[in-house]
Amino acid sequence: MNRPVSDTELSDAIRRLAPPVDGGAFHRELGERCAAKRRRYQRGPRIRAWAIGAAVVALLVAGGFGVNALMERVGQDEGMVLTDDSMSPGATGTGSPDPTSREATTLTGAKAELWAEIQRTREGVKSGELIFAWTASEAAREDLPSDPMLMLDSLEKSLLGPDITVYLRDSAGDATALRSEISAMPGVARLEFVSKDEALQKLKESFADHPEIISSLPGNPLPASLEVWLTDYTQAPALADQLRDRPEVDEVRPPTMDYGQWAERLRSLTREGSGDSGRVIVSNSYPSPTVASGVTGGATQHLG
Amino acid sequence: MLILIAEGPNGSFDSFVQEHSARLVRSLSLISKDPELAWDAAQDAFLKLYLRWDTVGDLRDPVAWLYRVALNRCSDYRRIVVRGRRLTERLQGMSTGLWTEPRLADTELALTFSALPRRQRTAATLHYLADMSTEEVAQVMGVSRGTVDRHLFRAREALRSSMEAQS
Repeated sequence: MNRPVSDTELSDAIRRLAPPVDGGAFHRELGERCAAKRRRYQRGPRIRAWAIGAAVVALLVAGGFGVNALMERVGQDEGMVLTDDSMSPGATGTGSPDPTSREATTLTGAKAELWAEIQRTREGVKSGELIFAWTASEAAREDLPSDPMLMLDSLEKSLLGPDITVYLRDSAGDATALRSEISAMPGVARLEFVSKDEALQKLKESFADHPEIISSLPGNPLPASLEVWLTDYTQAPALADQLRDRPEVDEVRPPTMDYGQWAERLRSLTREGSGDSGRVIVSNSYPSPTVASGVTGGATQHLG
Repeated sequence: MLILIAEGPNGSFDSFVQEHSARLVRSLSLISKDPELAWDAAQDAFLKLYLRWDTVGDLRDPVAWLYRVALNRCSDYRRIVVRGRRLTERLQGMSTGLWTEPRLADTELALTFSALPRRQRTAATLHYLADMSTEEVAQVMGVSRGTVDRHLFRAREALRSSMEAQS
């Protein structure tokens, strides 16, 4: 028979389990947050992201992409804001690329490969030579989105979207100097400036089905941004590093998708068909276009 | 570098933070099994308290209030993390290797503690680590004293047998 453990021993053992805490660092971080809060209150109330966080997650579920960005941000301060994002599926539901986006013919490397794979799948499905469909139970078992065509639309949209999105600080204004500097950089194919007002307008369009979310915003919490298309998308991380430390820049987001892996995955999901496309589920209506998240504050990385 | 100078009718917010922060973060770490999440939730709870510090006298028990807010925030974070993780996995087809359940340590006692039902773990942590009476634990958890006693009893049983097996 073992010796019984006393309450004090139990208490000591539990205390030892709890990891130590750097009280000074905690106090400093809290001090900074309190000070920031004070400033913010003097400027007027700002967006309460946690109140709408659940809505954002729900919409992401509905649409599918931009999840990495959300995951990178969920742990941060209430500075999380909603922005329109190139990873979101198109709002038209037809699967045809936005005519104002960059032509698909300019895609290179793995992006071009994925684009070709998407088109091959679409054409195969149309002619009935390929089957690109799954049942709800297969979707659950194989971790697939519920709607195959929505997945193709989303992939296309993200291929045509910018290679880098640069979020600007409010203090940067129109960032004209930075814009002309980036435009002149070698390898930059196109640059678009999205002002705070345009960003809010896009958000309103994205949330057309949920106007109460937008109307609950006291001001415009969205940052202006620069969307950059490159002639060679593999240069995106290098350019992102270059831009990150600029005073006008709040955050730089390079793409997080592995295009080659997606092309491979698409190939593995299609099967030879018998000329009968009856099984294919085609969706012409989306629950809602999605938004992804950005952040206004330079808070540290938390939840991984 | 202490910027918290909320000296008011209710004393210094600064000293309140000094007194309670480390214990709150450590308690939340044990309950959530995730020290980073615990840190964030504690920050949020203190920030919320800071914003209403001039009316803190209206609170029956500011410490219980702080712990309750922090525990709720822990659950909020946790839900979002888990939901986001499932989404990422499903959409990107990467169902393994990205995320593992956080754990405390590899000792026998830590494993037993981690495996306790969350409410038992919460009650045991608040009582043994945060030094709260059964009454206070009940107030934080929003349950009756009898329920706290039951949680504590079961947690004690499990932890004792784990410790006795080791000794």
